[in-house]
Amino acid sequence: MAEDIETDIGSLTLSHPSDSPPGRSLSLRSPSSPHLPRNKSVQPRRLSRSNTLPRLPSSSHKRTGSMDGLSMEPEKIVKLRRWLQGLAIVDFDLDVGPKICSIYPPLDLTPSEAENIAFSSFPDSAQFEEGAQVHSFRIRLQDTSEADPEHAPGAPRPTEHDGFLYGFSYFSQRRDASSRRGYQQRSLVILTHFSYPAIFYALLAKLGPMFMAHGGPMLESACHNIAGWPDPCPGISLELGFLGAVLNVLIPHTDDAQQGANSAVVNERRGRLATQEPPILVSLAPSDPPILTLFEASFSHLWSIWECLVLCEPILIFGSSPAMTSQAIWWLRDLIRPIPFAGDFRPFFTIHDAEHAVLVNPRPPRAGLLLGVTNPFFERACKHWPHALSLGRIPPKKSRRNREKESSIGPGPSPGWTTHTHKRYISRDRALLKRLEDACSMSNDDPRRAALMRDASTALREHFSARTAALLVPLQRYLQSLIPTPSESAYARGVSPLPRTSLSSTSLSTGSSASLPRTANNTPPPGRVTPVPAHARAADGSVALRLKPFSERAFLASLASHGAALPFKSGGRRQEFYTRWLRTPAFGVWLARQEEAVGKVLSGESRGRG
Amino acid sequence: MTDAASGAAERSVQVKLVLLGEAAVGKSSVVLRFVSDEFQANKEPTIGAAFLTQKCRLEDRVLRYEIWDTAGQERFHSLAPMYYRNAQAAVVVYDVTKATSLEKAKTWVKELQRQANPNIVIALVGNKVDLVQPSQPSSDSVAVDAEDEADDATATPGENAGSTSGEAESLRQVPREEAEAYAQEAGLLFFETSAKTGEGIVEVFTEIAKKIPIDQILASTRGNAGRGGAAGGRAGAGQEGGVNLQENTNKARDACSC
Repeated sequence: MAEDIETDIGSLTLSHPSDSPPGRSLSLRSPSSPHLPRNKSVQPRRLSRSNTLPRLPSSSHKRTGSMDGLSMEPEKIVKLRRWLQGLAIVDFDLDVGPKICSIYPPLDLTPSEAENIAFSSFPDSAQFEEGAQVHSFRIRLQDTSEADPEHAPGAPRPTEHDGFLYGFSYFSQRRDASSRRGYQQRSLVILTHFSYPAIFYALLAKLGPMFMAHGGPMLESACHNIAGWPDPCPGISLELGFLGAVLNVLIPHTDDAQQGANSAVVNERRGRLATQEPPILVSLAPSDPPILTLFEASFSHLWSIWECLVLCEPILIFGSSPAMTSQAIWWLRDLIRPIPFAGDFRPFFTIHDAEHAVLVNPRPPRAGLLLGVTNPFFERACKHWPHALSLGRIPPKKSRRNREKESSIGPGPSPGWTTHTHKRYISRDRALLKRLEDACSMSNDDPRRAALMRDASTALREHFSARTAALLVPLQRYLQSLIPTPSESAYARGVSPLPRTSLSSTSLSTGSSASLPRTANNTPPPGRVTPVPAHARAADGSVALRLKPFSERAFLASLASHGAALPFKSGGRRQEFYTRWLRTPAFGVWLARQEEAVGKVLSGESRGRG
Repeated sequence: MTDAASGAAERSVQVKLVLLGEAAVGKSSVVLRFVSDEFQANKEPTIGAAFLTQKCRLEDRVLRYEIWDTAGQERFHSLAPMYYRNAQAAVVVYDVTKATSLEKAKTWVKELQRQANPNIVIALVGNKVDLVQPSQPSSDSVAVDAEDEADDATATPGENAGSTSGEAESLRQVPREEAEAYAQEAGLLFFETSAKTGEGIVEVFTEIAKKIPIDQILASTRGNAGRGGAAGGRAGAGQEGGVNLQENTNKARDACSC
């Protein structure tokens, strides 16, 4: 990538006011938590650049909003914003810490949002001497509808789908003798309304190093490429040209749809193009480094962790870098598809987050909250949380006896899974567990290791995705019995019963799960009048057909008689698990969607016939 | 981005192609003519590089150009390696009415020969021949036409020149023989084209297609789906003979199956 291109790293450096004190020691400090006085009256800083970057207008840093002289026509900005809200450059300011030095295209952010983005874009612990890393974050946007009426924004507010803004940050650190800190630290951040980690990680992997080397023209080229892309419509497959490379991506139908590597579209595309790499499934976590390395210390607990996820249990996820916590959280979030995600997740959460006091306090944590943290402060602050997952490898074998001591190399809890409350309901897959352990135990020098790790990581995702689908099987079986039968529908409409049609084959949408075993016995005998609770008379006198009400008792009875698709340890544990699941917010959202889907089909049918 | 119309089970070979050349020589217009068979006057300068694709049939083979149309402006020069990296073909464009643009083309050729994929197929293309052809029927309004390619970096010479048929040839600053001799010496394909009239455009992409070793790419990537494999598997010059774009084609649309 960057290696065959002339680089001029250091061409973009912060210039400090000439009266600044001479260089301090070059010791590496926490990038985002400087022990420095908070002096708000900072002089505006400007980038100084070497003349390796010709033709840049000198007025480009007058205002936040212009970036290296970048400007696009308004219609191009609109097209760019279909994909992302803005690109931010965050630099380390010696007085305030990380600070947004520019955003393009301009966005109207509140001071608190801007600060949140700035701090979330930097790791809050030292990562490396020199290098770069990608991580992501998710922050809540403030409601500005009742904002200061005097505030006249010169730029639009960020678009959002779910109340949150997603940030994907390429953080880079290089030695720089000219800086008081001894290092140049800078993040290039993509701000977007899409929760599509795989594609934004792929963009940053390319753009990040190139931007650090070439500056403005790189961003300009990237923005124009993206503005030229087709619309990110749900469910489509796209070929996107980006800085000399071609990305093939698949956009999911919804945020909760499961994107499978074996889907027909994927295979069809791969078959036709001889040299095509597999497409990027945008809603997945980045696949590199293999996810296995993050969970190595918790392999045998993965089934418990999955249960906690689907039961909307809050989990504190600790890692030594934001790159680790982000990747892990995106990966965990994906596992519960196609069940709707009803909680909140923060791939990288800092003590500076505007919602710090809301999410981390002495009260019990919120249901379904996945909090990714690197600051050891959270270990104490979240002591009362029921579950904590610490990412990383098991310490080397020889030191296993002294694990406590050994793992104190890094601050924070030693890698592994800790729970105060959870007892596993389902059986583990021992063959898979062995496979994961074998892949990880292979020597780092073994050339087969990379492929084994990658394949085992894929297998791990497929296993839990299949378990999530299996969880839904008894519910779908029961729900089928709640669909009004054709005779009931016909009765409701006052027409004679039509031959049973393919309503059940319209299937409750379940993403990837196999089509349901149909319960065929719910057609009442002809001629008999049946109660029809499945419809109600709407205001205009027409009959609205809908799913009959869900009964927990009836479902549990159905579960007891038909059993489950998941390998529960016992019948009692099975009933207990589902009883708990029915109380989660995720179940409520899921049921509402099923009702909506069935209602659509039924009303479509009645329109079609009427 | 329109695969849909193509034959169902055909495997196509991806060919990464990059356009290079001084600003305002007509790179984007050459691509637009090839991909859409259109010509757009006063085209705005390209920023960074535009990406387009065009699928073509070469007898029984399907070939898909992934075209990177780079900006000619100097501030983007240092980004060029990104676009010609792993490219199997390059089209280096100059303007026949501007001698310095050939010099710039030569420096691009040198850079490619030094840094790009060693087997890259390079075509040297002298564009805007409509400006130097007195007999060209559409050259009645040369003054207007000449502005077509103007952008903020360079202006087309001869712009606003009161040009009659007799003066047209005098606009030429690069004799065909000179450029052709250079191309031969440097081992390049050579063409003179007019994006405006369409002259020579399809030929450029056809001759490049003939030199791309499609079978080798297919063989090297079978069972090994990697873009890198495509570039890496290209050893030696392409085998020739027997491969032709359908000959009854004057327009890109007809030459290409989608």
